[in-house]
Amino acid sequence: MKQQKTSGKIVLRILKDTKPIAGWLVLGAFVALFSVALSLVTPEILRALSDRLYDYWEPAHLGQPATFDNHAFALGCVLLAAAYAGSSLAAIGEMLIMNNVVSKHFTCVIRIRMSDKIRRLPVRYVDQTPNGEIISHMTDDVSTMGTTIHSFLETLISGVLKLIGIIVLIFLLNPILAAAVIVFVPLSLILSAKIAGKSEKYFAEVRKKNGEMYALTEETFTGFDTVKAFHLEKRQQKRQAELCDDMREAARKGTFLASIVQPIVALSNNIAYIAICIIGGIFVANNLFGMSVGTIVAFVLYARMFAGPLESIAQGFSMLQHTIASAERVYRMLDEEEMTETAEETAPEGKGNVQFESVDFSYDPKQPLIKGLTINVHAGEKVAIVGPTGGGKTTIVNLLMRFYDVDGGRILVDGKDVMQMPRNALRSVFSMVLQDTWLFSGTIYDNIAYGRPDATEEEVHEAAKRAHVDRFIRSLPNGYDTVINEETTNISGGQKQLLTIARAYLANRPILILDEATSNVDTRTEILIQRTMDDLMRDRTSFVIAHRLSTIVDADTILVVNNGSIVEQGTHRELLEKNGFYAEIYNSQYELLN
Amino acid sequence: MKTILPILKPYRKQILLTGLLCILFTLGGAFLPYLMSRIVDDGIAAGDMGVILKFGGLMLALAVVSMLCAVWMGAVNARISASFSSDLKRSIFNKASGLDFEHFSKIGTSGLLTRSTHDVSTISDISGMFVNVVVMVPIMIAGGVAFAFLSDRVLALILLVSMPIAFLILFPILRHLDRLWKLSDEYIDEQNRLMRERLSGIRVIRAFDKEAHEHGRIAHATEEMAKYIIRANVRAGYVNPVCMLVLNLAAVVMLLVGANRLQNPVLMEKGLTAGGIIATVQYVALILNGVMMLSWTFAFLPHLKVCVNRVTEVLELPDEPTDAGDGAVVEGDLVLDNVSFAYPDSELRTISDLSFTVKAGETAAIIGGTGSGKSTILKLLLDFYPPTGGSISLGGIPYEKIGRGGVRESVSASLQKGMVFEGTVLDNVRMGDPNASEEAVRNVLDIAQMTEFVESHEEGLNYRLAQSGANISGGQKQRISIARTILKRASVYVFDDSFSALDYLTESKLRKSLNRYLAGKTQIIITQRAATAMRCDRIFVLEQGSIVGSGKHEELVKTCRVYREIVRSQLGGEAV
Repeated sequence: MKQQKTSGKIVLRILKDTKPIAGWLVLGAFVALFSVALSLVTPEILRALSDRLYDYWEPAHLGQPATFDNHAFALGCVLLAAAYAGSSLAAIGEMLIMNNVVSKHFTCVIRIRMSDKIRRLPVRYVDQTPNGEIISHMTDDVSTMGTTIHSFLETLISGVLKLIGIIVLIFLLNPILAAAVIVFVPLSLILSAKIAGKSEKYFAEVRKKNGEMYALTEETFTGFDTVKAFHLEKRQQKRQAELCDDMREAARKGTFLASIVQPIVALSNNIAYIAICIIGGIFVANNLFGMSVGTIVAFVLYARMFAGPLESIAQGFSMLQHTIASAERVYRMLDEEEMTETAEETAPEGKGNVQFESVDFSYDPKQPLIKGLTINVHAGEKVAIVGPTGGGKTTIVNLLMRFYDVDGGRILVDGKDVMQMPRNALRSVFSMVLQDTWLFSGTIYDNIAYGRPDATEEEVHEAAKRAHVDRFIRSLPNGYDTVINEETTNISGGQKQLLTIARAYLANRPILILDEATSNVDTRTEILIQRTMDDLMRDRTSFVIAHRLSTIVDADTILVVNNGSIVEQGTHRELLEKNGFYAEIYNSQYELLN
Repeated sequence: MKTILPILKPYRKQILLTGLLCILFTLGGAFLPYLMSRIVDDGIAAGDMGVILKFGGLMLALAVVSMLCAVWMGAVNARISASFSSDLKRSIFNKASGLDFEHFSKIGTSGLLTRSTHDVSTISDISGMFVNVVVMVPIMIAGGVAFAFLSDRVLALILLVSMPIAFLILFPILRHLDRLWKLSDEYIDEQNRLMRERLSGIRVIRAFDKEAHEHGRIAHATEEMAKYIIRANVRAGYVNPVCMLVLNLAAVVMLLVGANRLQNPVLMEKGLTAGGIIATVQYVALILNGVMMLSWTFAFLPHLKVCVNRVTEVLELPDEPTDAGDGAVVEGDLVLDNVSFAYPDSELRTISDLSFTVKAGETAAIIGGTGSGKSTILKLLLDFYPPTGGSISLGGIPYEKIGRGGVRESVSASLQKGMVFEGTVLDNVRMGDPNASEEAVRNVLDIAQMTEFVESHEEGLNYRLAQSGANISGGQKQRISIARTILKRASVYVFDDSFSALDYLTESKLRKSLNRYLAGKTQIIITQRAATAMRCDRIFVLEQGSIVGSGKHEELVKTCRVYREIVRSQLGGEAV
């Protein structure tokens, strides 16, 4: 019951969503009406033509005198041809409207809306939702939605019009015969909708298994070396074969059920057809109700026309559940709560003073992470954050950059509460270099200039020189115009990291965040780059996260983070003297020696 | 095609059966208008109720039989297409997962993934339709035309001629359809790639206030994609109205000509009737379906061809050569003698003239920066690739003699990425030794410093890991794969950067218990970290594929410049 309610809501939402294209839909309905009307006229014309043929032949073949009005017959044929042509042209017009307006609206426009939505969603959403899921909503779900809505509206507009038209016309022609035709309709409609619904269940199973198989295949191929090293081929092949078997059964049942919808509709149609022939034949033979052979022909043709819309309505019902599920996922994403943005226009002065005032924060309310954190960083100081993996070092970066917002307390940059300034204004005083080097697919030049698109060529080259990648870039066949993409293999992880360092250097902002900034860089290059890093940090406030403690011993403050909270705070010397957790970490790297 | 068709071979009989059923079903459908014409000509004209009822009853029986044939045909077709699709999926997966590294990397992970999922699905979807078309369309068209010939020769000819006219009109419309579909596919990939890039770089993008820019790039790709999809769909959308128009106009011409011929007494003598003409016009509907289906196949064929070619390319790759050895574990010294290696299709040698010996029971470290060739050594040690020059031997037996299976039984390796598979922690560790007891698994997990993790979950060892370990951290993945590696009963254990995601404290604890557990076994530790290498029995310093120094830490600090620099940069001056 509850499910039906949400289904209803989603359908309503989809209908509401057609508002911007309502005008086109009305036009489409008119064109469809025209097309349907013309196609409904054709059996009438054929009826008249058949009567003429029969009325001539009946006496003529018995040798009795008969006349045939060739002129009138030809005129009828021209009318018929015009009706066919008009109907086909209108159908083409409707098809063009449906594709260019409806499909476009429900695929392209919704996808762009989703992409736009991401701009306003918090980083938390992106962190918590697997990327593949977001992408699959944007491609598969939208595509399912678009296709079905397209055919749904098409059926709704022309199918329903056609059905109504046919029913009215056949009742006008002969109510008794019409009743004989209509009586089978609900039966075949219900039966085929039921069967189609059942087959859809099997297809849902096939889709599910297909998803599992995709996951299995992906994992086998991405972990190919592990698979080979541990002889896991047979294991993976066995699991794949099991999925294949499950899928084969479900696909067989689903396909079979789907395939019998058409014969059932065809049978009920044929029964109607036969009923028309017998009952109509008896009427004509006995001269009842003014029936003619032409009326039988017209009835037969109308009955034929029934099948198409009936089948598509049955199909539409079976797809409904699937479509609603997709639409629900799409709308859920579009309805996600957005970040709130302050209206104030304040921006930090850019001096570089940072204060944490008893900051509380947790990713999960059940597991408090940071409680009452207070740090006072003066402009130009170097703050190091150290601690075991997964201890929460990156959390501090998340809060500084307002990727996440504090639960309690305040963070002040140059004396102003970060919550009181627009996010982009706050972020404009920071530069970051992260462990996961992120470069977009584009030229090396554009990647370095990412933070300052207005930089001159000299400035970009200078930044690359400082990061010790200029010579490497120039050694590439296309130099600075080399395009970086997924397939780029001639640039190592270390070189990519150097490019992000160049990017941060060029951005030239008062506060610097270095999160394992040289972790991928070759040790010997690291020595070379240390000078640049020192340059970068000079006169700037910097937050440095590092594994290698040798690089942070000179920090003004070292924050030792473990299990999400700051366990110690002080300079290198103070912390060693304290002989606590920091001392343990520091000594552990030498402990490996013994 | 050659490689794919044999998969259909077991279903030859079923395909013949479908053909037969299809003929019956089509004939049944085609006979109805004929019987109707008899009702009109013999029953109504003569006012004979008996004839009307007789033919009516016959029609009913025919309709039922024809439906039963259609249902049966549906059952057979469903079986063929489901089995074909499942067989194809299985054979391509078996082929791909059994490839050697050279052929695997030639097509690449994502290439193989598309081929064994998307391409195979497309082939089975379309080929299901294809079987229908190949069997049904000729029968439908031939049946329709044949029945038309029964009533009148000329009318049948008109019907026959109308078909090529429909195709001629559709040909230019559908000709470039595959190109449009391909273009739209490319933009879908582009959109998804940009989106993935954007989601993974969300912090950097926001830090530089570039969300609008990234959104613009995606919107552009989406718009281009929509443009081509709509163009393709519009072209495909012409098929039905065009076919209908041409064939319906043919029906009009048939009526005109039919009326003319009916007035010819000679023809009427020969049996041309009004009912016959009316029935013939109805055959148009039968043929119309056939023509539309044929046009559809024509439109899809190029797409099918692309997929078939790509799948065939994989199916035709050679299998891994049969294994030379018996797969037993070999023990003893590991010797690399003058080994060189260049990846297939690459001029550049990643390893050149490398020679070293690791004595049985020793712990050796191979240290070097990125691009020094460290990971390539691992691939050679596991016999993923044979060396292009020189030889590797274990316990005095060359690798070629031990055989691939034997080498991989003897050498147990933990790889940098720390791969885990969908399944429980227990499953994942047991991949090292399927017969290991739960106790043994707990023990190796404890050595890998994972006890705390296992105990923090209610399910314990049965905690389920998501695909590619999406629900655990990089460090946890590394530790599970270390547990798996040491559970395997091998003679040589190799750890390729396996501690890189661990902090020094965890690493230190892990290494201590590891050394106790693997006492007496050979260990090779490939690393970038000096602290990790320092206490090994022997350290090999690798640079640009060659060894530039070897010995103990104390010696190397004095003798090897590269090593000294690494140590100084990582541990500070005091360590040197």
